[in-house]
Amino acid sequence: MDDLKLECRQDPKAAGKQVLKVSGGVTIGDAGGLRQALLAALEKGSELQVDLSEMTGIDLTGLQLLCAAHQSALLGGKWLYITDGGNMTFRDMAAGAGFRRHTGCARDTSYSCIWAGGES
Amino acid sequence: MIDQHRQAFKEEAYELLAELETSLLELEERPDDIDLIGRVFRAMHTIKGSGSMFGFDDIAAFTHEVETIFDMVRNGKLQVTARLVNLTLAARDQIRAMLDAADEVGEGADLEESGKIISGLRELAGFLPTAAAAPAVATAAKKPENLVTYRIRFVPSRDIFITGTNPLTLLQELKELGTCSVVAQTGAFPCLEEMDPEACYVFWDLILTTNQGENAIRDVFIFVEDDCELKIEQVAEHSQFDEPQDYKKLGMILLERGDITAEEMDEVLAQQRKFGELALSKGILDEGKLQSALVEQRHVKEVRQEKQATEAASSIRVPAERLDLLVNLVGEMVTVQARLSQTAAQRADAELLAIAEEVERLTAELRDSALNIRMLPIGSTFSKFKRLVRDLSVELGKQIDMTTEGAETELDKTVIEKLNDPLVHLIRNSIDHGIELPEARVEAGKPANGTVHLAAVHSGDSVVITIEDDGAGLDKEAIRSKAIEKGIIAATAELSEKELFGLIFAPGFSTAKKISSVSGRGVGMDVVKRAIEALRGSIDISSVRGKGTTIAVKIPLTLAIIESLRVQIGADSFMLPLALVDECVELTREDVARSHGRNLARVRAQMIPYIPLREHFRIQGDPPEIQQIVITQVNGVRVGFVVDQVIGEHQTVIKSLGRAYRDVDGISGATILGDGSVALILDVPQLLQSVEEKQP
Repeated sequence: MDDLKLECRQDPKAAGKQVLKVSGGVTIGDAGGLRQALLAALEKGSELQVDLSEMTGIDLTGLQLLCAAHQSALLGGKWLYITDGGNMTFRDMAAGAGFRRHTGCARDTSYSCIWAGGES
Repeated sequence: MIDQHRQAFKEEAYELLAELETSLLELEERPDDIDLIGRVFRAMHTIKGSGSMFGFDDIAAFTHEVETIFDMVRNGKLQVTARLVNLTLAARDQIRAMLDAADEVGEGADLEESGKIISGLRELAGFLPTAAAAPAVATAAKKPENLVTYRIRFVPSRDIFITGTNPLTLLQELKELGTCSVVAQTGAFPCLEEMDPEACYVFWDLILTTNQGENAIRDVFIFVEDDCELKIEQVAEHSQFDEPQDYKKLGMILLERGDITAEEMDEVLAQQRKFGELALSKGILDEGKLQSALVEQRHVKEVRQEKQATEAASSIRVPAERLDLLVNLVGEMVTVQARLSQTAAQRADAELLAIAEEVERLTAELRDSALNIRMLPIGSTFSKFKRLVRDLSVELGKQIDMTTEGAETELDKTVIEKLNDPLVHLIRNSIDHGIELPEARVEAGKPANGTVHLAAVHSGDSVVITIEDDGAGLDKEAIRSKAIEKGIIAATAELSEKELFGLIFAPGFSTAKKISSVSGRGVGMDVVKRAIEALRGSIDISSVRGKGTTIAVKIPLTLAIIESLRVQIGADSFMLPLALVDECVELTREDVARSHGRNLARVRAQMIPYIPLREHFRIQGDPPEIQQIVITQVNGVRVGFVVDQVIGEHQTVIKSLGRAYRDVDGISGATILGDGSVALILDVPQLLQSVEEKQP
């Protein structure tokens, strides 16, 4: 896996929208950094787009962090969503770990679960 | 019961080995064909798995070695080469020998041979015997159980990542045991602010359908069992054929899992909405648990549907003896039905006649169904010949391709079995003496590779099998000289091409200058002819010098029951196979007188030779004023048989004659008529031959 690179920027077209681009691979060693980046990005705006299109690998810690970030966003009245640009590495990993599901969890009041729409 | 399963395994294994041989021979031609590599691997895998299940541990262990090699091929780590194919074919033969030897007292299969093959394969794969091979064989010998669905809850400890364990690897191992559905439970996740990024918060509900047993599941978690919560429950066993399609209701699954109480379930059931929705809205269930239960419901339903679909499409394996018994019983019934019809006709009772007709119709259907069950495609026999051609080509230094056509053509299994040896002999002849060495072929302007083409096609109630080679063809002059030398024909004899080629069927006839170990063109061809005629078939040769030879073998579809023509001579009845009968004409005393003892009748300007059967079988009494000639056609030659009277068509159940009558010329069997009397079945080709031989 390539080294993890995290880039956060304000979307010039939408005020309050942050885009966090995750490139390279996410391993347990990077989990702390990813958590900080997610927290910071959520802090900065009301909407967070996590771009995983250039992500080359992700382990369970990474999947957990994404799920927790979504729950935090919901609790804070914010919106978090993922774009993966058809990244099969991410999709296969999420499906293999059993994260894909039909409907969101109990906290998903806005029907924005990042795992919904797939088979478990 | 155990013996029965062992027998079933052996039958399945023999079929798989036949399939394996075909796949390997095809693989030799197309070494990069992924499908073929997969087929070889799967055949080995099935033999290994089933072998160990039914106690054929030696076969399982041996097959495991070959399977390992083909797994490497499958994964692109090893190339298919001629040596690999040779070794695998040898392994296939060895497995067959082990199967043959199993259950037999005395000598088993040659262990030295097994060792040689395994060493060869290992050498090819680039590794030498290792200690790891032993546990692998032991694993192969472990006995799997029935297909069972398990519900597994795996809750790893919070610090599992720190110990270096990746739970996803465990999930992957579990998936390899069977059909697995995985649901990650994320409900216990804290929000991001509170999350320790290096801790594990997720746990899993897994639904696994496997035949490996609970211990195999526990083995997956063996290194983390002290560090996790593991619950394995059996939720469905799929050994019942008639299990209901619907699996448990959702509420029942949740209740069993302990995720809700009976009171909560009753409370929810009192409402009219969907159970899942209600349970969620009541807050007594979180979405993750509902999701997991729904997955279990769907998983079991899908496994059952798949199993039922497989069972519906599959066939039943029945021992051949039971089918033979069924056909024999149907034969008896056909005889009784004939008796019923005859009695009904004699009594002129309308009601009895109607019943007899009904029984006749049903018996005919039953007969056709019973005979159809024994029909098998000739393809498996063709595949065996492919191996024969390959081995002989190597032995004789020739390059020969075999092509086939009509492998799906069906024949009665007894006919197929009896046809094997004559066909082997004919193919051996084509390869040994028909097809030239590559240099000679190139010199003759032909491609270096010769071809043997094997084809089967239905023709009425018969099948015609042709063996066609593009070799040197028969040498008419050599045949003629040899026949004269042997005293089979006179030096002045004028023979048609057909008659000349027919000479190679004479006993002891051979044009081969040197008799090789494989065959001699003509050596044993009389045996081939006799074997074909014993099947009530005929054989025909055509050949063009330098271009090749075609041998056509015509065989009836079944040997059990035939349509025949019943004829009468005095008080005796005889049967002539209807397939050989062309027409019936009258023969008056004037016609006999006109032929001046030459036994020739003029039928529409054609002179037809005939055999007076009354005379031939020395039946006492005088023939009627007007007799009948039943004109038959064998190998394109029309010959008549003179009888007193033609009775009509008859369903003839063939009964073989006792040992004492086995060598009687011109009779191939007997049948029992409706009145209980016996009628002899005429062996037309043999009758013609014996008459020809008696002629000066």
